[in-house]
Amino acid sequence: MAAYRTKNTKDKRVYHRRKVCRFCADASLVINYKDSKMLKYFITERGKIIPRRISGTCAKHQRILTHAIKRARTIALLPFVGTLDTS
Amino acid sequence: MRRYETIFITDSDLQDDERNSLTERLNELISKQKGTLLKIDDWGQKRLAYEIKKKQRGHYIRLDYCGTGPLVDEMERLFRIDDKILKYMTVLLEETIDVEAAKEEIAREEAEKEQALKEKAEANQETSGTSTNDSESGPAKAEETSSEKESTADPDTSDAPKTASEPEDASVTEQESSEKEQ
Repeated sequence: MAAYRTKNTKDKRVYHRRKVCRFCADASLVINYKDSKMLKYFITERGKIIPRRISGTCAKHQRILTHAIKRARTIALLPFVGTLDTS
Repeated sequence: MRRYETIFITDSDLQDDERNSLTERLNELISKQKGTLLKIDDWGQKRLAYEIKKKQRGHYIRLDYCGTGPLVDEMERLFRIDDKILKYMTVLLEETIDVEAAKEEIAREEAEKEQALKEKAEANQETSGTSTNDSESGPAKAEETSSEKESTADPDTSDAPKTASEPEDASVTEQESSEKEQ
């Protein structure tokens, strides 16, 4: 039983990789709504904003990022729905 | 006085002189309302992320200026009337601004940019002359071309696995699936 448990925790450790906020790690990165190329990494294929729990961005930067993505959408740099290349 | 930034998308079929007259008109409007135009940034033709007025492409122009609320209202009114303007967006950059300082800053930035361009050109000449540093100049050139073709997006997706340094569970699977599609 004990062996089983340790195995289980090991598995968990594998799955829980600590993700670091990219913008905290590199202070030179500035979130700008005009930089659609950079913002593209934070939206899914469908054009949805990738949640914090998956992308690993910190709360502060996710907030700024969301705002930037929404601005980019209004000016047709990013799609509301659908992909950039097929639409 | 506040600093604003307005991006507007004009019809891609519009002739260059028509577009120039439009920007001139905006320039006059800004000076009439006691604002100062700091910069006109022409992004050129770009593919739109979604159709606007049944158009797939548009010509982006960014204005960087100082002014007051009524100026923005008037400008947006003009954009709404003009059917050659597909879309516009105004963003407030700074609440208070020293016009002269901002002008100086922009002039300095442009000078720096020019210098960087010159240096790049010189470096390119050197590399093309010796042709030993090809490995250095190669990727830089590739980056330049990809930034120009931002809208086509195909080179970007192929670049994605390299540039995304953290393996994100969801995005990795997405990239894989996008590769399969290609």
